[in-house]
Amino acid sequence: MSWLTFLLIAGGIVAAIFAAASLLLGGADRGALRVAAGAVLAVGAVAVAFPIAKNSARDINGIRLQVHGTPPDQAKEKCIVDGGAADIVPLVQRLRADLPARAQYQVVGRLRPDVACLTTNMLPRTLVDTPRAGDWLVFTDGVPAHARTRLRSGSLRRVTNKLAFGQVR
Amino acid sequence: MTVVGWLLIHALFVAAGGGLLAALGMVRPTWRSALWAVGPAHLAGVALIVLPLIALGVAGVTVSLVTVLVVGLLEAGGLFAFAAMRGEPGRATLPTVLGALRAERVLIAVLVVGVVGYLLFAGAALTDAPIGWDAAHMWELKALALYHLDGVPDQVFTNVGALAPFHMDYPLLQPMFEATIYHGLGHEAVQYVHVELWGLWAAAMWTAAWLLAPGRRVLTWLPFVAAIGVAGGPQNSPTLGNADLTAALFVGLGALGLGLWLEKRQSPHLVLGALFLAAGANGKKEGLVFAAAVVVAAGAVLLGLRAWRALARLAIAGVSALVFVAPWLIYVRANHLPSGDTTPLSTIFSHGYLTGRIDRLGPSIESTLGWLVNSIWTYAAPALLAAAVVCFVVRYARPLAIYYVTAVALMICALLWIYWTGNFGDLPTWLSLTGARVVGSMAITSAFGVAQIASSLLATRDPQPLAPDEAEHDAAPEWLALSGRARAGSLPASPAQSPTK
Repeated sequence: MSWLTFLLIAGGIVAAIFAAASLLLGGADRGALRVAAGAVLAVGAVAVAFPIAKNSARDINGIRLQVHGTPPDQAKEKCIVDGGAADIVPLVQRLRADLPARAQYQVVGRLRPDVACLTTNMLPRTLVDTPRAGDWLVFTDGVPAHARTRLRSGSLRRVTNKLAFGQVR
Repeated sequence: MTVVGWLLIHALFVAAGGGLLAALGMVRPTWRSALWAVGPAHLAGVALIVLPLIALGVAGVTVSLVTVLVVGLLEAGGLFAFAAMRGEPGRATLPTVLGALRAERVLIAVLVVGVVGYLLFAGAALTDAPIGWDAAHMWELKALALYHLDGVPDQVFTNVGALAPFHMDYPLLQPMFEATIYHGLGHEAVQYVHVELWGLWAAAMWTAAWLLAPGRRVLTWLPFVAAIGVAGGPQNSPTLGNADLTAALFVGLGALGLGLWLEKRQSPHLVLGALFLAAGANGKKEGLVFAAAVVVAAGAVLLGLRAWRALARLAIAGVSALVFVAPWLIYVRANHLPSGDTTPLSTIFSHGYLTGRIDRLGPSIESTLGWLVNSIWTYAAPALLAAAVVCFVVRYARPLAIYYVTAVALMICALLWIYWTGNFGDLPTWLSLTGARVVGSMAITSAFGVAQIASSLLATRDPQPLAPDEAEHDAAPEWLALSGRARAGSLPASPAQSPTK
């Protein structure tokens, strides 16, 4: 019944304005109502501002304590963890460290958690559908034999048994 | 280098925005006046620089640090040159009325110190914030692409095959703003940028105060700005890196600009209002709808007043704002970017679509109005309704009341329409994810509206008589004009009533 609450609050303010005009300004004529309206609204705003400020300060302090000390990389990787792909975080970190800034890569295996989150973490390195010579293959589900043959010799770097990457020859 | 870059990019925003304010005659050539205008200049500068960068980016132009500098310096130089040629400052520079009572000054000091202290503390609290889910998939993704790839690269912006589920049609104000900050800093700063987003909110409060202050007693408007400034509702978006607050603050300030223009008919308010609405329309998709609601409300009031010249000016301002809105819309259309959450009109008006989903309206109304009467949005919307009722009873400032109530009502209706017709199947989840933040535009517009109306109700005199060319000769029709009885009421009558009273 939020519409009723809405109307009751509005009605309550109007009633307070009429009461203020009648009781404090000597009558509910237009001039008195004008002054009473401005005054009641302003006093009301001051009255709500203080408790609201207290709650807001408490809330933002809670956020401050919650996020305090988060390193920049973790700030980006939150979507990977929230997307249920925390296991690929070490791979993403290695890719960011080892791949040149303008590198292009293709994901071989299941792309997790999704393209948008991975792109946010990997930019300025960009995802491509068809890698060319010098681009990179990123393996999220082991290194298939057919893919291994496409890599430059010695370029394969393993992060875990299933996570690896290498450069296309 | 980072500190120098930070100073450089913010100086550029302030210079461009300050140039506009000076060109509009809203800043006196004194240090005090210039210092007081830094907040509004920053916000206007953000809009002035970022909106052309969006247009350039979607046109295929490289948007690098050089582009940012060229756009900013050209705007600042051109506008300050115009201001110098223009000569004297305009009328929107009247001093603020502090009030003579000691208690009044103490209360003002408490409110100002409280709001500023809270805004600084909240900004400092966000320095380590991570990127939220939505931001990582939309806003920050686009910001990083814009920054690292110097423009609007196809790999991210038109890659429908890979990124279709991630709202590719959402507009670019916030991502381009973030990218501009990164260009200034010389590196990405995905945590610090939360502080910048909060800084926009702080600048919005400053701008509202700056717009409302001239010629008005401080305590007639400051409580409303203070109440919305310390509200809990605005915390959510900057914390997560979302764009809801960015769009809402620009829509709210645009509404205030148009509201002040309706009251005083001073062109600078119309120009600023149009600029802020253009920025709001580029903030989010609903920002576009809400900005349109504000313009429609202003147009309806002017139509009721039969103020044809003012209506023509509003139309010109609206078309000018559209110049900044159109580039992204054209880009979306040209690249067939899918809409993630809205339904095509052909589907909406197909047989049985609306009636089959009528059960979505009840929960949507409950959620929307429920958040508007929640303390995190300071009860500003019901207070606006109450203020409007009183305006009608006392027959004073009725056009203003109609304008603000219509604008907010249209925003609510638009939001309900989106919930009703949107293709997000699980309505309760949709409402719980979005309800608290999408009402921001309504709450902020309401707060600014109440501030303007209340200070108008308490004004014992108009700030300054209107010049004949500005008064437009568009007298209000009888049903909107102040009645003779009220003129002779307990308050001293104004020497020159503004056209909308």
